[in-house]
Amino acid sequence: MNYVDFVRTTITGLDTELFHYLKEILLAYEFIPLSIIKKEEFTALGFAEKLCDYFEKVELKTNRDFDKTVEKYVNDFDSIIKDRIAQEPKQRKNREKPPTPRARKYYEEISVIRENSGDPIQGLLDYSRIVFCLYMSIIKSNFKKIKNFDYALKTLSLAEIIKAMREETILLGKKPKFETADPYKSDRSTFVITIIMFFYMKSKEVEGKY
Amino acid sequence: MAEQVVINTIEELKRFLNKEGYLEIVERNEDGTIKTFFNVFLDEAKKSENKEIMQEVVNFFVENKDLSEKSLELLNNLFNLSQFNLLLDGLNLCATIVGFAIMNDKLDKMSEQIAEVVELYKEGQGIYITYELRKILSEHSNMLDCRKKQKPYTEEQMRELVAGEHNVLELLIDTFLSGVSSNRKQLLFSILSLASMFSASIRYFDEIYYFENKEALDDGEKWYKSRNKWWHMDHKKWVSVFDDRLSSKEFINKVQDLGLFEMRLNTVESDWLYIEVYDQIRSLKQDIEDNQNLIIVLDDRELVKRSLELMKESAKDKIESVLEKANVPAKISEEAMLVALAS
Repeated sequence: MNYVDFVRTTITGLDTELFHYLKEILLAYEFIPLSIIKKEEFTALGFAEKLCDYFEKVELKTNRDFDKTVEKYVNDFDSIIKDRIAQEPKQRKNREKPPTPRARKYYEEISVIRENSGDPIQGLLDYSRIVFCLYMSIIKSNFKKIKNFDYALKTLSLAEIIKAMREETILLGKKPKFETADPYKSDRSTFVITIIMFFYMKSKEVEGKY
Repeated sequence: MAEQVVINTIEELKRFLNKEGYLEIVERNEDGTIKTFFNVFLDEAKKSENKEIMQEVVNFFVENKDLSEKSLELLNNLFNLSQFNLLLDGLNLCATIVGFAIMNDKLDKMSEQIAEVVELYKEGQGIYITYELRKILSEHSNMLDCRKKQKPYTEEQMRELVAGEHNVLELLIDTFLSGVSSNRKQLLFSILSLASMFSASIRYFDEIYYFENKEALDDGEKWYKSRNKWWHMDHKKWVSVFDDRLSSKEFINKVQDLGLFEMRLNTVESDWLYIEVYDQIRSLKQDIEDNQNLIIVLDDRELVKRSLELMKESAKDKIESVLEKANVPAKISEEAMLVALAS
C-alpha cells in the first residue's frame, strides 16, 4: 500500500461533514502542521494533497516506506491492548475446556481478518475497527483487563481514544509512550492514521436502531 | 472546448455521477451529432441503489406477512428469476420473507437443525420437539389458509399455535446461543423466519381474543389506563422474546461473531448483518404493538379488517413504484404483484 492510494481511498470519499471534522481534529491537535494556508481555505482535494505531502515527509524523516508506517500503527495499537485482554482460562483436569473470552477471540483473530481481506485498505479498516472497539472497552473499564467488549461503532469516541493514547506511558509511567513533539516522527503518524481511519470508518457506518 | 479530466480510479469517477447515481456518456458521430446515450452504472453505486430498492421490497413483504402457500410458491419463482437474484446480491440479509420461504419449502434443512436441538435435549424430548416443529409449520400454513378462505380458526387453536411457536423459537434461540450448531447462518435465518411467523400469529390471536372477549374484559376503566387487560395473560411472556432474548446484547454479540468468524464478512458487511437483524426484530415487535393500538382504537372487527386491507392497498402502490424504479421487467413485476395480492 502506498500513501497516495491510502489518502485517496480514505479521504476523497468523505462527505462534507465528516471531512470538516477530520480536518478540524487533525489541525486542532496540530497533528498536521500548517505554515501559510488557513484551515478554512482547504478543499477536500487540497487537504488530501497536504496529507500526501505529510506522509511523504514522514517517509523521508524516518527513512521507512508507508507500509512500515502502517505496521508501526498496527504494532502501537497491539502494544496498548495486548496485556489488557483476559487470557484464555486454563483447562482443569477432567473438565471441559472453558470458553475463550470474547475479547480474546477477537484479538487472536485480528491478524487473520486483516490478511483475509484481499484489499489492504479494507484489511486495515477491519483491523482498526476491532482494535478501536477493544481499546474503547478497555478505557471504559478503567484500563482493567476485559473479557468482553462492545463491537458497535456507535460506542466509539475518538476524543476518548486520542486522550487515552496521549496518556499511555512506558517505563513504569516515567515516559510517555508516544513522543508527539516532532510531527514527522512515526509516533505522531500513528495518531494521524488513527484519526483518518476513524472517519473512514464513520463514512461506512450502517444506519440502524442498534 | 470541454474541460479535460484525467481519471485514474473509480473513486475519481464518482464525482461525475448524476443524481440518479449513473454516468451519462454521449457517443457522437463524426459530424458531431449525437449517436447514442449511455447510462453507465459504477458497480458499487448500483449495488447501493439495489440495496435500497431491495430493502423496500423486503420491507414490504415483511409488513405483509399473511402470505398463503400459493403466494410462497410465487415468491420463490420470483426470487429464482435472475433479475431478482441480482438485486438480492446487494443485500447481506433479506431476512424475513426469504427465510419464511426457506422455512416452508426446505423443511429438510430445518430438520437437520432440529436434529441438533434434539442432541441438546436428548432426555426423552427429542422426538417430541421434531414432531412439534413440523406440526407448527404445518399448522401455521393451515391458519393462513383458513384466514384466506375466511374459514373459522378458533381462539383456542390460535392460542395453541402461538404458544407452540413461542416454545420452538425459545429452543432455536437457546441452540444459537449455545454455539453448538454446525450451520448457525441457516439457524439464524430460521430464527428470524419463525420470529416473523410468531409475530403474525400473535397479531391474529390478539384480534380474535379481543373481539371474542372484550365485553368480559371491560372493567369500566378507560382503555388507555389499563391497556394490558385486553390481552391474554401470556401475552407479555410471548412478546418478551423480542426484547429479552432476540434484542439482548448476548444474542446480538453472537450475530456479530457469526458474521466475522463464520460467514467471514468484513466489518462493514458484518455491521449490515447484525444491524439488519436487530432492526427486523424491533420491527416485528412494533408490528404487534401497532396492531394492538389499531384494534383498541377502532374497536370494530369489520373496521380493523377494512383498515388492514387499505394498508395493503397502499403497500401495493408502494411495491408497484419500487418495481418500476428497479426497472424490473413487466413479467416479473406481474408475478411480484400476484405475490402482493395473494394474501
